[in-house]
Amino acid sequence: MSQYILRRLLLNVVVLWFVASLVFFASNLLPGDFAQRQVATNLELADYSEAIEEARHILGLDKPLWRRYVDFMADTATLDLGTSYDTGRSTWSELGRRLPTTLELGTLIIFVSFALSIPIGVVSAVKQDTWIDYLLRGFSILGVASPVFFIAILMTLVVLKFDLFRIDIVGEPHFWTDPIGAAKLYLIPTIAGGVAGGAGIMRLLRSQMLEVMRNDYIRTARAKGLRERTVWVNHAMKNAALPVLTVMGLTIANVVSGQIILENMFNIDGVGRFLFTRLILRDFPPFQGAVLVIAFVIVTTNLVVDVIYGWLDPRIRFT
Amino acid sequence: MSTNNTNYWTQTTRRRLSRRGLLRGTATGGIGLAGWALIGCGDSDDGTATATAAAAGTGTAAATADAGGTAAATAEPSSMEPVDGGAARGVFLGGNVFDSIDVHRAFGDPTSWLSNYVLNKVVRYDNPDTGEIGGDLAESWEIPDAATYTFNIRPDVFWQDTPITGGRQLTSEDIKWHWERQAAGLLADGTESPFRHQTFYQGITSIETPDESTIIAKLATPNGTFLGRLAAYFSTVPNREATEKFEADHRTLSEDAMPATGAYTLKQWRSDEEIIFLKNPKNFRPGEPHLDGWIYPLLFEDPNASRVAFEQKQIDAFSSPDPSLTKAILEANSDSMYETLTGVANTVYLHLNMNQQFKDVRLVRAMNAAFDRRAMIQTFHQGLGQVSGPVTWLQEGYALLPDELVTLDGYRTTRDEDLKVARDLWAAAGGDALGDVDIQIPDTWLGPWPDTTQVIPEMLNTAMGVTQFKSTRTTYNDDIIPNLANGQFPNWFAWTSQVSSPDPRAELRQTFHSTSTANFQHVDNPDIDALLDQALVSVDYEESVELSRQAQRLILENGQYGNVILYNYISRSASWNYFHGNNKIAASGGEPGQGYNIFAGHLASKNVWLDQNDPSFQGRATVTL
Repeated sequence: MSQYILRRLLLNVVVLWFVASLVFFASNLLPGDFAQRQVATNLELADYSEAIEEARHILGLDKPLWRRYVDFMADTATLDLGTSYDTGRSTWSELGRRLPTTLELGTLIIFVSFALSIPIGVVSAVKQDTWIDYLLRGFSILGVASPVFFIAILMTLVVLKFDLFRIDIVGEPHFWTDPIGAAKLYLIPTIAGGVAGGAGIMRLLRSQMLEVMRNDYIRTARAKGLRERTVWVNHAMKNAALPVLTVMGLTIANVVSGQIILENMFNIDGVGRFLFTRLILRDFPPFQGAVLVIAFVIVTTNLVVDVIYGWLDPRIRFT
Repeated sequence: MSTNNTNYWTQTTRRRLSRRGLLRGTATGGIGLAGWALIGCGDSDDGTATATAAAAGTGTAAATADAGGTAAATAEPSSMEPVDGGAARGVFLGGNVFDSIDVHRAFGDPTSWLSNYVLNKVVRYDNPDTGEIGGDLAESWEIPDAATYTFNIRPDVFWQDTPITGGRQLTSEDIKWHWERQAAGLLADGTESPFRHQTFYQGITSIETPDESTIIAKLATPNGTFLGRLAAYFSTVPNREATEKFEADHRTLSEDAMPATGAYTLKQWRSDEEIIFLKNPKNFRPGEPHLDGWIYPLLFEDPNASRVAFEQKQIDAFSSPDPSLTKAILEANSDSMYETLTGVANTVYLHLNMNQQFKDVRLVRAMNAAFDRRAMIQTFHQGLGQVSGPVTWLQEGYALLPDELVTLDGYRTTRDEDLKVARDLWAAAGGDALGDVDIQIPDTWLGPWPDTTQVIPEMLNTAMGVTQFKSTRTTYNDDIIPNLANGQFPNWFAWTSQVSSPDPRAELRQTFHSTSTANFQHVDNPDIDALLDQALVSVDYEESVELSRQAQRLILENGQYGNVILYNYISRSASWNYFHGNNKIAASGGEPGQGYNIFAGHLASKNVWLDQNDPSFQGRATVTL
């Protein structure tokens, strides 16, 4: 087991190097840079090249690409993720400022997502081909088919139309500063994100449950006279949960990367919105650093999920 | 004011269209500008359009009002007196990046826009659309000739009291430093740095300050636009001590870097945080500003966020990138909101290269006639726009009047005649022999309007009855700007220069005068040269307008020499009734308000106030400064 984990950790380093290289070169392929964006309006037919060159020099953008890549990788190796061209703050500081907000929203979304998907997936399987199953399947298909922004916009329009409550867009409320304000702000993104995130899990869990329920050991359990509830919970769910666990792991990882669409729609100053604005501004050091951190969380979560696999299913061997 | 100089809106209103119809047919925008202008929407102004102050030389008092042609401009002035108090909340739509805290060294506009709330200029536009100039730091001035300008500086202007300034008085030496520093392009330690307006200030050959309240500028050559340049939004006068203190670190935002003389002080100016303005108790204009302050929250990248904030009264005005959404919100709240239509400063052009493919002037005349400006306005802007001549309709004091414009090639309301002109000219000049004609579209335009590469060739091929037009993507910074001077630039369609001043004389000369270094089409027309030369040195408003219009007529006769100005579109915004914004004409009687089309942030302190007794104020979110 420990050898497996060590090997995976080494593999993760390679993955992270690949991600770092990819994000570095991909972001440098985008048209324009921060100096250009900062200095030129783009619409004036004026030659601001001298000012742009000065800004590039100050920011270090006048160095050759390979040199910047080497610097970037060297800094990354020492966990220095760079400094924002825009704010002058370090990437760690920028992320640290926003991570609590993202976790605040993400935790709520995960809670709603799991709270909806697990019971619905199970009940839908148990009540297969009944009206309850049809209803729940319809709900889950609707959830899969509806983009998160669509659900959020619909809910927002209802709130605005009937003036149900104030969504504090400009006040940045948090549960630790203004619980009621935060609850109102996060209600729509939580439900929208929860439904969108949970819909896939509902469907996966239902199909897994149905597949497991056809296995011989379930029939054996029933033949032993076990209560149906015990069969479902103790024998079926644990095995059905394996593939679902992978999806759940990724859902949790996505929380750290932030809900880019939802954070932007509701002006929530989290990691997702931060990523988006940095990209728009061509403020690459914090953008690249944030992507790397997210990649780290995802590969680490995957490793943890794989380890949990072994705990859930003793047949899995780590070789 | 003569009839010819009457307000652009007035002319059209009186002769043909209802005001609402006119407003529907006109427009402007500019994301950055709109971002600032949103909260800068204000109450009525008398709207009288004259710039005789420049010639009369007596500042605000000389800004003569002429009742002759101002029916629309003066229509529906708000009968309500502004009430002091309260704080407003505006919003940036889009990523405004401040490239410098030093207004002299800032090449991007956001710093200049912000400075208009905090600082003053020597003179200012009392009506930013028509060019009416009034005093600001100067209370009066004399112009004995177009090369000599004497300003009498107000004695009651003091810098915001900070440890850097000590709250000292502003004197003529401050203005002298402001001009000399920009002309020299040097920092206090002697190092060189790029200064955006260095060339302009190098035109001042000597500066004398006989006393604390007098400054005399002598120019190398007579220049009737000098006063207008000093009134432009980017000509604010910063504090010397603070500017020099932050010279080495001029890209890090700090509220200490811009001590105020103006209506507001900067309480907070930091990257990625709210910008907060507070009323300046030492403002020299009595009774201004009306607000205790205002806040620009963090950037709203998503229109949904600003829409929610607006509908729930967390911000006071709103403009969606989709005008129909703003319209829908206005219609749903017609009793508690009003509409404002503001021209967008980014002018939509078609640039044809007369050094290469379009050497024959008949070809550019054909293109000028063939381009369906009104169809473009419908296609891209939901009908919110108005055609522009060589001087845009935003610059209403100098633009050709609409009645004349619609009789000229490319501007007629009956398309058939334009098409016939276009086809005849194209055939006569052997347009078919040009082969493929690529009208390139910069990526900045294709972002919001990606289908333009199909729309433009389709329109031109249909208009000319050919199949030779095509369209591809290009970029300003890689393909266009580097190739302007060498004449190798592509033919392109997009927004180009921003309209930053109501006085277009310098820009006209820059583009069309045979000796201009920015005459990229190599225009060489002695008649145009003579008119532009005379206009440039004129300090008489009516004369300069007439000369500029004569030059425009010649330019239009020649297909605008390939610099084919098409139109300016309109930004629609919604405001709650309690919010009296920076509008030239306030909304009234069910009619939308008409905004200032050229940046008017400096008038916000005079115009913007909150009517806390208006029923719509109920339920407004509290704004804490």
